[in-house]
Amino acid sequence: MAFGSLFFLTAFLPPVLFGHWALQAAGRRWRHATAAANAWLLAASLAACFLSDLPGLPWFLGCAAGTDLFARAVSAARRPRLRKALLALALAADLGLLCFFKYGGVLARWIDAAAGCPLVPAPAIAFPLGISFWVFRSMSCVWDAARGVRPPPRNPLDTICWMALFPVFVSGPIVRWADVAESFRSRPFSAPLAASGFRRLLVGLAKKVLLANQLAPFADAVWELADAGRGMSPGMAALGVAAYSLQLYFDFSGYSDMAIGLGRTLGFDFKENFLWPYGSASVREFWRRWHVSLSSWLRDYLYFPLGGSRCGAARACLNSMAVFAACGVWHGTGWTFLLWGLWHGLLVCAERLFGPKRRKGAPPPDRPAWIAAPRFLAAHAWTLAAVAFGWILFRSATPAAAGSLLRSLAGLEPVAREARTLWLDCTPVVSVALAAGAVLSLPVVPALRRLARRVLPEWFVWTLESLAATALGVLALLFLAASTRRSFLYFQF
Amino acid sequence: MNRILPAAFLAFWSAALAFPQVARIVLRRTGAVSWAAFDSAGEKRNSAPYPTLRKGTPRSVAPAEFGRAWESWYGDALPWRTELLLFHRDQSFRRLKTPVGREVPGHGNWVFRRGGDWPELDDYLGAKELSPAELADWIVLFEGRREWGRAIGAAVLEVPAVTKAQARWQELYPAIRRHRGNNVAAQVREALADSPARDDVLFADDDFAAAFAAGRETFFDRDHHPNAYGEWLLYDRINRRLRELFPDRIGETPPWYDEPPPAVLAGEAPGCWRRSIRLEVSVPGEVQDDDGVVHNAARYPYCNVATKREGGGISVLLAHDSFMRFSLASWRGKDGDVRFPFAKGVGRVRALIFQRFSPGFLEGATAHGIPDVLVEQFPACRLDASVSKYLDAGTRAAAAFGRAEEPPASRPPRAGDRIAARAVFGDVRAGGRARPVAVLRCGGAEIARRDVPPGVKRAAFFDVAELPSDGPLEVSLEGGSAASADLVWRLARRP
Repeated sequence: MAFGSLFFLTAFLPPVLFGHWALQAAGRRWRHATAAANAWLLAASLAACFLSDLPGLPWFLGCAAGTDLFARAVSAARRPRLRKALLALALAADLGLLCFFKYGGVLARWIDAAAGCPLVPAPAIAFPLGISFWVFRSMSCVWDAARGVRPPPRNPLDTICWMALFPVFVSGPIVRWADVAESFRSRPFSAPLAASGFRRLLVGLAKKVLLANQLAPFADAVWELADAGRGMSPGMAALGVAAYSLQLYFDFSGYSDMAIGLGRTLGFDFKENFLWPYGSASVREFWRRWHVSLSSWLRDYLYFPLGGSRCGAARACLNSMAVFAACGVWHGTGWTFLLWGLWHGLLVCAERLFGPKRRKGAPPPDRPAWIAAPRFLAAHAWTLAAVAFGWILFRSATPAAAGSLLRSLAGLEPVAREARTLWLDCTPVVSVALAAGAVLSLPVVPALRRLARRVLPEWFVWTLESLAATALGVLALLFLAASTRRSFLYFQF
Repeated sequence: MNRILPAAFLAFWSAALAFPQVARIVLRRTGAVSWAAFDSAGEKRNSAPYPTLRKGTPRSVAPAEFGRAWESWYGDALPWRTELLLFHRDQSFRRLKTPVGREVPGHGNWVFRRGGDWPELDDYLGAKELSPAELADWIVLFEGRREWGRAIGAAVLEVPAVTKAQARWQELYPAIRRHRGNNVAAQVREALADSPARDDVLFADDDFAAAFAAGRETFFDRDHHPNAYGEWLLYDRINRRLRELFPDRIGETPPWYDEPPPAVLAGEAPGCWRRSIRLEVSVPGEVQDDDGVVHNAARYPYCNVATKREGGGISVLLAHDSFMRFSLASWRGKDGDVRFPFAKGVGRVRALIFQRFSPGFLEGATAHGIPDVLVEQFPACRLDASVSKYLDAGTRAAAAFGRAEEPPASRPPRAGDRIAARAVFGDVRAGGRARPVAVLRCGGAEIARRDVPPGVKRAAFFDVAELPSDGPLEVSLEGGSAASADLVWRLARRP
């Protein structure tokens, strides 16, 4: 059940929110209110799982129960060897589950191809929704319990509720138990907090519906041609890559905004997942701002255990390559995902080895603006180009398709007949979305907000922001409703 | 900041999101089940029903389907939906010059589809420049069909109907208009100028242009189909050609009435008029017929029509595309009986929707009887598609026979002559094999062969061949029998 669906917004969300707010409001007079709110949230989250992915529900419940058992056992184990063994067992079970569903089919195909005959039956079970996210949440919980960073949840129902939390179940962010443990003990209701969460939800919805969804048909049309090995003009290819880069950002960050906003309306405080990544001036900085919950998870649970950057430059580069390869494979099973991960690993290593070096904690060099600004712009342009190149690998179905698009970008591919009408897909709406997206992907809104707060009273800024969010929300709902329109009778034939 | 503003904000959104569901419950209690949120006529479909969650096991309940059904219902039940959609479309079309989804707009909100498995915009605009080979293929198809029809005693008429985008391109938005290129129909028409088949390919562009100049609306407001009057123009164009082919036998086209007189409405006088979105035709003496071809050979039996007239007359088999569908189809019979009689003198009409004359279809349709006229109607934009599906070797050979020269009377065939030959068999029956084979021999040596399906009357056109000797030409049927065989040969033109 996607956040951007009318069913979620109009049928599922209102009763869940009303019920939760009522229980939170009762917290002042009833000491079991938080437990009741948690139970309500658990029921709502399981209902969401039921409605969106019934076949995957038993797998999820099994994983959540296993997480709770292992986390308790690891936490209770006194001998380090036993603790490590239990941790290894839990991680192996989690990774095994992930690999079975995500890579089982591919592995079976590879084995069959190598053997020349069908040997291994491909898993016939559907891919459980959100498995990449809830498996990582499970691993972080057991790991943190083993390291003593955060004790596991006291109540098994809290474990299931945290892992099933509907705002973050399908597409993250990867909310760790350590981040929300306190909220499971106490979540007071406040109208300003709930309203600010709802506003964030509307902004996220607008990002998804008004920007990402508008850019999607054009990006799809470009990649449809590229995947078929058809050439197009360099301008159209460049616009297509730009459209996809922005579509991906607004789609995913919009989703994260909605998750964070929903969390806030329920009283949770999820960490930010996107920190204006397209404003970065280096690829390393980009990864500190893009999908923060995943990059920080990989940093804490893979990069640091491998030794991080404390074992010399060569080892640090090797570790980075391993982390980014894992990041690529986590996103999907195609070769292009692995290539995308390795491309970013290479860039990070290159920046580590050849980029400007500054001691940790040292202030930035004080350069005059006429030197600093062009340097920043050049670095920013390079970062955007490198990231966009990565998105070509990420979006293409095969390396050959990525090669075809790159050749089109360089003007080396003859323009196919089908590509001559591509400009029709680059409609004025796409152009507006491209222009607006290019501006809004940079930290313009926070700057305007800071400026407004400096010169206007707080309540006025709040009202302005709420009116803007309302207008965006109404527009997004209108677009969603319009997409249900079916015009032609003869499509019933 | 106090709590009033956030509380008001939350209250507004809570009410807005929950409104359709709450209103439904309230309205049901008060007896008014729904409100007019949905423009059924504009969207040409029924409103999505309120979903029900089936009782049963969790798997049989299919909760994801319930969610999708809810989306459909909510989308249709959204208050002020039509106004909001029109506003949305208006902004998209008029201000941003952008289609909604894959619908391409014109003025007055008419739309047509592009992309997917449906013809691209190129097709509707006829923007493709046909290559000489593609043009030649179309000409060969039309000439081959004509010659094949003449051999078995049927006239074959082709009716490429002009599309709204081609006829009224001035009304397209500039962004779309810019895409307009050469009109495929005009290219084919020009290439047909010297062809013997030119009179049997009926272009209705001039009729539509004249009607437009006279201030008549020939297309639907909101889509690209010809309206009832546009369909009458096509009907009239076909009937005029029938009058040329069968002089003194076919009557005038039943006239068009904006306000039909009572006698026409009662079926006592000929006339055509518009009822709802359909073209109604009244020809006295016409009755509905039950016909095997209509039931068995058509893709949508309930959309097809068979009529006959007491007293007989010529017979017409019409295969038509969606451009005549609103007068010639009754979706699941909801629009009542379909009636489409031709003018006085036409005894039997069989009309098949979404059907084209592939060689296989023509063989099936003429197996038990030969209609006097075969009419194929399709949108002119289809002229930019490949004809390979419809153009077989027999049709090519028939076209070559049509272009060949008749030899001087009593001139015998000589060695070295390049000849095109045609054999017409009566009552072909299969014998040793499913499909008999006609064999052409010269002085006993086989020079060509062609499959002949069983049927009441079959024509076999042989590929052009060079004669090896002066020997006599003879034709025989292998793997079957025929009641009669008639062989005609002509001198083929040098390529």
